[in-house]
Amino acid sequence: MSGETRIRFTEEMKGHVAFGIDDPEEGRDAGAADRTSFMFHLTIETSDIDRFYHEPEHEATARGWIECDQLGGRLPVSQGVFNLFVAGDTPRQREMRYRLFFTDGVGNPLTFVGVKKVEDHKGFDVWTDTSTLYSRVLQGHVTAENEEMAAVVAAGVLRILKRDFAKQVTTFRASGPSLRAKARGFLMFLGLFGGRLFEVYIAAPTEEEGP
Amino acid sequence: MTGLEHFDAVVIGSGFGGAVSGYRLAEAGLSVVVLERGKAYPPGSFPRNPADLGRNFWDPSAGLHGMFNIWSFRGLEAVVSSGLGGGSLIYANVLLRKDEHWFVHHDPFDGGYETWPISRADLDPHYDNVETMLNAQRFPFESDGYGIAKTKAMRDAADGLGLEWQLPPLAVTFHNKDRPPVPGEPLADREFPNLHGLPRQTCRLCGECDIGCNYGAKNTLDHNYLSAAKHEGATIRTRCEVRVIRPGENGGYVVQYVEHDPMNEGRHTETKQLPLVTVTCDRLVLGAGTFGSTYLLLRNRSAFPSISRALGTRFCGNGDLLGLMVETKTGRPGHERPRRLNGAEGPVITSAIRIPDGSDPDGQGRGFYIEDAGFPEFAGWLVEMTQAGSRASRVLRFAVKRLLAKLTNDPRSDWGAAISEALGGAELSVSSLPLLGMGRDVPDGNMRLNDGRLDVDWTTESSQPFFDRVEQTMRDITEYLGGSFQPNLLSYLDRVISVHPLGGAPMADNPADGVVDAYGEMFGYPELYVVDGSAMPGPVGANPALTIAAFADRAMDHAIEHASAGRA
Ligand SMILES: Cc1cc2nc3c(=O)[nH]c(=O)nc-3n(C[C@H](O)[C@H](O)[C@H](O)COP(=O)(O)OP(=O)(O)OC[C@H]3O[C@@H](n4cnc5c(N)ncnc54)[C@H](O)[C@@H]3O)c2cc1C
Ligand code: SF4
Repeated sequence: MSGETRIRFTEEMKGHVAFGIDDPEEGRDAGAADRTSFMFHLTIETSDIDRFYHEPEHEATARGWIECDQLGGRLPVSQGVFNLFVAGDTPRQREMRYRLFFTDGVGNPLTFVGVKKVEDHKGFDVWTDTSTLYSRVLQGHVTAENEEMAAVVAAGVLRILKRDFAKQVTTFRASGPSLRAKARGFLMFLGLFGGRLFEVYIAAPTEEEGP
Repeated sequence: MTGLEHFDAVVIGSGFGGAVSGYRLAEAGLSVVVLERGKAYPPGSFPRNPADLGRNFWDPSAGLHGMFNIWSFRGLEAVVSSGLGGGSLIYANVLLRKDEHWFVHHDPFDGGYETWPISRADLDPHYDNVETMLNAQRFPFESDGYGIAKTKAMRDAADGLGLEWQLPPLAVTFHNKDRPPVPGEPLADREFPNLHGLPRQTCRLCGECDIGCNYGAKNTLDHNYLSAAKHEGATIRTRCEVRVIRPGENGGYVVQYVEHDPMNEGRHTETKQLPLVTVTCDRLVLGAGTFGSTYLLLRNRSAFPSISRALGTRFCGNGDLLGLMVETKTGRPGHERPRRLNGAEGPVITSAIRIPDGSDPDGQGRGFYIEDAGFPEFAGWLVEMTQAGSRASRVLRFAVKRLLAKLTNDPRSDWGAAISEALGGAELSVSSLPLLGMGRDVPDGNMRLNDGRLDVDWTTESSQPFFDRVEQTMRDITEYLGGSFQPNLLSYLDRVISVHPLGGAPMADNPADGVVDAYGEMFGYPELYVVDGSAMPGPVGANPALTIAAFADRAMDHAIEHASAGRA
C-alpha cells in the first residue's frame, strides 16, 4: 500500500450570480435581485492530501455538475480541478481555487472559476469567510494563465450552509497507510472546509503561536 | 472558417421584422438568407377540416409542424405564428400607426417606466413604405355589398357614446387598382413574381383571416416582402429553426439551425437531437418575434457576455383584452329583437374605436383601442383552449391537443357546433360579437429561462386600472347595443390572452436601459440587429405589426449604410 493519504468528499455550494457584471459581490446582489441562482455539486478527490496542501501545482480533481437555469439547467462538469495556493505573506493566508470546465445548454464552452480565502488571524470570521466562494463564469475553457483575457459571462458569490456542511462531512472518505494518517486527512479536510484552520494545530510548523 | 456557407446577412424569422429586413438587404445587393422555422402556406393550403386544424400547432418535438404556437405563462396566454410570413399568416390585417403621443418618455403613470428612443416622425416615412408594399386598403364599408352589420354596430355605438371611430387601413385587397371592390376578383400581378406562383383574388368576406386566407386576398408577407426579397436574389429556407448564434472568431456571426423534415411530421423527434447546420455571416438580423428572438438570446447569452442586462425586460401583451358581447338587441324598447351582428361576415377586424391617452391633448389615463373581432370560430376556439388549459394544466398545448383529439375522434363533430357547445350553447350566435381591446398596459414583465424553458412573469396587477377602463368601455358599447357583456374570459384567474406579445430585447438610447439602440443594433455587438416585437420597449398601443415593420425598415437603412461604409 502506498504512503499517500487520499481523501474524497462531496461538496455543494449555492448562491446568486448576475450576467453582465464582473465583480462577484456586485453580482451576488444583482443576481439575488433578479433571482438568478447558481449551484454546483462536486465530488472532490485528491490522491495525496499532503502534497495537495503543500504544492499548489498538485491539483485535486472535481467531478459533478453545475446548475443554473439561465445557462440551460443542470450541466455536467467535463473537467474540474481544485487546488490550494499561498496567497499572502504567510502560509496562513491561502486560497482555494476551483476551475471547472463545462458547456451551457446550447454548447458554448465555459469555465467556472471560484476563489475561497482560508486565513487565520484575529477578527477573521472563520465560518463566514471560509464558506464564501467568489465566483465567475468565463467564456471558453480557460486556463489560469489565460484567465485575465477571458470575457466574464457572469459573477457572483456561492456559499455553503452550515447544514449542508454537516452533510458534506458525512460524504468524507479517506484511504491511507494508517488510521492515524486517515484521521489526519480528515482533520485537514475539516480545517480546509469547515473553517477550523488545521494548520495551526496539525500541519504547518508555525512561526508564531496560534490563537 | 472555411468550407462553411457564408452570407452577407442572415435573417432569422420571416415575420414583419424579418421579411422587411430580408427584402431591404437583398435589394441593397447583399447576399441574404432568410431562415424560417415554419412551413410555407400557399393560398388554398390553410387547413379547414377539424382533423387538420387539430394538428395545426407548432411543437416539432411532438411531431407538430403547424401554424399556431401557443405559449402559456403565469399571467397570460399568448398566440404567435410559425410559418413563412410569421404573424401575418394569422393576423387580422390591421395596419395602424402608433399614436404620435404614445411614444412616451419615462411614463410617470402607475409607476411603469417606459421610454421610446424614436418618435412618430422618425417612423412616418417608413410607415409609408410599408403601407405601400402591403397595399393597405380600408374596408369599403360604403360600397354596395360591404355595409356589414358588425361594422355598422361599432359605428353606431361609437356615435352614440361620442367615441372616435375609424376604418383602419387593412392589409387586404378589396379592390384592384382603379377598380371598385368586388369579392373574388382575380388580383393583378405585382411588380415582382409571387413566390408561390399561384393566382390570388380579392377579399370574399369569409371571416377566416385568423386561420389563414385561402384566397390570397390577405396581403401576407409571403405575397409581398418575401416574394420581392426572393426576386432580389435572397435565399429563403423554410423548416429551418435556428438554435445557436454567436459572434465569429474573426468578426461576423455564426448561426446554427436544425431542419424540421416533413418526414418527421406526426412523429416525436426531439429538436435538440437533430443535427445542426452551420452558416456564417457578416451581419445577423433577429426577426424571430418577441418569444423567438428573446429565447434565442437568453439561451445563447454566454456567447454574448457584453449583452445588456436589460435582456428579457420590458415584456407586455400590448394591453390585449378579449371580451364578448352577447344577445345584442335592436328595436324600440318593449319591441326588441336580436340584433344580427353576423360576426363571421367580413374580414376579422374592420373598424376601431380609439380612447385617447393622458399624453394626448384630450385624454386621461392609459389610452387604448377596441376593435370588432368578428371571428366566432377562432374566438371560440381560443376561449375553449384557454379554459381547458387553465382548468386542467398549466401547459395549454396539452389541453389543446386533448380538446382537438376529442373533436377529431368524432367524425360527425362539426367545428362550429363543438365550439358553441364548449361555450355553453348559443353564446356565439348571430347576435354576439367578440371585442378585442389593446393599448398601453404596463411593460413590467421579465422573460427568463426556467428549467430550459422560456418563462414570463408579467401579470395584470400593475395594469389593472388600465384593464378596468378597457372593460368598462366594452361594457358601454355592449350596453348601447342592448347586449350583455362577458368580460375577459380569464379574468377570474387574473389572466389575459395576448396576440401581441412585445419586449424582451428593448430598444433604448443607452445600454443600461436597453439591449438595442434606436436602429435595432445591439449595444456591444456591431451589425447584430433585433428588428421584431422584442425590440419594443413598451406597448405600441395600436396593433403593433405595422410599427414593427416600420422599425425594421428604418433599422435596415442604417444597416445598409453601415455595410456600404464597410465596403468603401
Ligand atoms: C390572431 C392574431 C391576430 C393579430 N392581428 C393583428 C393585427 O390585426 N394587426 C397587427 O398589427 N398585429 C396583429 N397581430 C400581431 C402580429 O401578428 C404580431 O405583432 C407580429 O406578427 C409580430 O411580428 P414579428 O416580426 O415580431 O414576429 P412574427 O411575425 O411572430 O415572426 C417571427 C417569425 O420567426 C419565426 N421563428 C421564431 N423562432 C425562430 C427560430 N429559432 N428560427 C427560425 N425562425 C424562427 C416564426 O416562425 C415566425 O415566422 C395578430 C396576432 C395574432 C396571433
Ligand atoms: S375575409 Fe376571407 S377572403 Fe377576406 S382576407 Fe379574410 S380570409 Fe381572406
